[in-house]
Amino acid sequence: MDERETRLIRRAQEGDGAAFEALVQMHDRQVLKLARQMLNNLEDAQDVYQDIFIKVFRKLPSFRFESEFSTWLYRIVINQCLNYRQWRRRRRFLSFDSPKDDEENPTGYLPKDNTPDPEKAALSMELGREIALAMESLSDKQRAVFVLRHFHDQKLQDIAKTLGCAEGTVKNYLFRATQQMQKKLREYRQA
Amino acid sequence: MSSMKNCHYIQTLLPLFDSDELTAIEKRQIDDHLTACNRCRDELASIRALLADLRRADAFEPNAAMLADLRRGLRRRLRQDSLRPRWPEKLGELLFGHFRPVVQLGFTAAMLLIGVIVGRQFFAPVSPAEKIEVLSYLTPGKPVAIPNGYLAPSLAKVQMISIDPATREVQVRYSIVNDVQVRGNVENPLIRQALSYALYAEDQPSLRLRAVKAIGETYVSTPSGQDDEITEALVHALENDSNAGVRLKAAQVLKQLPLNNLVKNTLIRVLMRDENSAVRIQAIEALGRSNLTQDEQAVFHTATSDTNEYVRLQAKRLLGGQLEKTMNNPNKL
Repeated sequence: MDERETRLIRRAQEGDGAAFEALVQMHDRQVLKLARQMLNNLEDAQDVYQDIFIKVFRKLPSFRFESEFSTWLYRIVINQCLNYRQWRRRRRFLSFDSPKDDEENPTGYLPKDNTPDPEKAALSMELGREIALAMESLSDKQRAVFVLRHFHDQKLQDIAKTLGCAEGTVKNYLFRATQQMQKKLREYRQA
Repeated sequence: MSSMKNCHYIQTLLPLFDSDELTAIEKRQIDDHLTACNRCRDELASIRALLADLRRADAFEPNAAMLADLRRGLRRRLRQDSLRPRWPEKLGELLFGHFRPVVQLGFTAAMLLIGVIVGRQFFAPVSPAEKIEVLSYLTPGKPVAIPNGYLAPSLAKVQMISIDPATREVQVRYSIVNDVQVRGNVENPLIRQALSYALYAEDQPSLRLRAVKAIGETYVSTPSGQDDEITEALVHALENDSNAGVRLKAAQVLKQLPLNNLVKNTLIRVLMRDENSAVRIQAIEALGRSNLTQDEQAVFHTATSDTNEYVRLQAKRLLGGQLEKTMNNPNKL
């Protein structure tokens, strides 16, 4: 945690709105990315974005600098996303809705706008779609570990702190998730 | 082979094989095992292919407009949230967390009864004289003088209207919002706080631009030196503001301040990333006036291939100057 971030947190804890705003702006890009990867839907991720930061706002006074701020924040993001997924599953079960994905881009992956090679972009998008579909087959915890590890470059130790479990457990989730992803991607390619 | 571990154990470690998170012993166990086991070698190749696929698939990247929308929404919700009283929820959680519904109902009735009795004892009707005194402060539209300014309450929301048919009196409950106007220089903490808040949170670019200008015209010339809060707000505007005019003005103001590490690092990032050439020009000019370490000077090498000719020329000039300095004083290396 750098000095500026620490200062902003302390000021936000004392009720300084501008400092909280600055903290949001420092982290919300990563938060939105993580929420989208966890929920596989941009609209849902945008809904959860507000809930996450409201929760951060309310809980910030209890942050004691015992971990990195980002670890603490990611824990809130993951918990909020897991609650949301649970709620979405229950609602779908009760209302018989079909699974909700992004209409324009169901994968959660987008090609960069300035890509010079449309064919490469299309392939990359197709690959993204396959990966996102394969990730749907992971359990909530496996998904969280896989996303934090491969899309947010977190070490096992940090993931364990974020999820509040032992490093060995994280290792196990990662192994299961990797096997499942390999299996699913093989199936898609064969199909 | 005695040290050879079984396939399952090795495969649990394979997802970490290319990272630095395995112990030396684990790494050696895997190496030994892979020399003799085709299945695990294939497994490792398959994991590497998966990781390559993950890197090749373009990841979702939120754009600035989307984030700005979300931040606006969040700001609105936080404002509403801070107006809403929170104690009923907390009290509810505290009291009814584990109670059954019938008990809850009984408890609620008892609390209400106690509330009414206590309320009658302690909150007797306000006397007419007190009412007038309070109203003279809180009547919508009537400004109240404060040091170097005024405070103007205005009606925000009518919450309740009730009519007493017997007395023909109308009772109204409303909330007010206070507009505060203060005059002074940037030494005034209220003004400083308002200016930095505007830079972080105001939606209108013209207000943010005025905030930077106000800082530039009054703050730089004050003798009391730098204030972290203001410098951080300027740095924030320079790096994050969506409006190029605001970023440009922020760079011009920062150029006049002594460059601390925070400012210097931000200017380096801006020189490398800002899409607006005028902002990059300000950044390179500011950096040109400061003493950069040899590592930091690498940014000038990058700037020699900038799309803007002036930035390229300036970068080459600065590199030449630094080289000359180094040759004149090799001990500084």
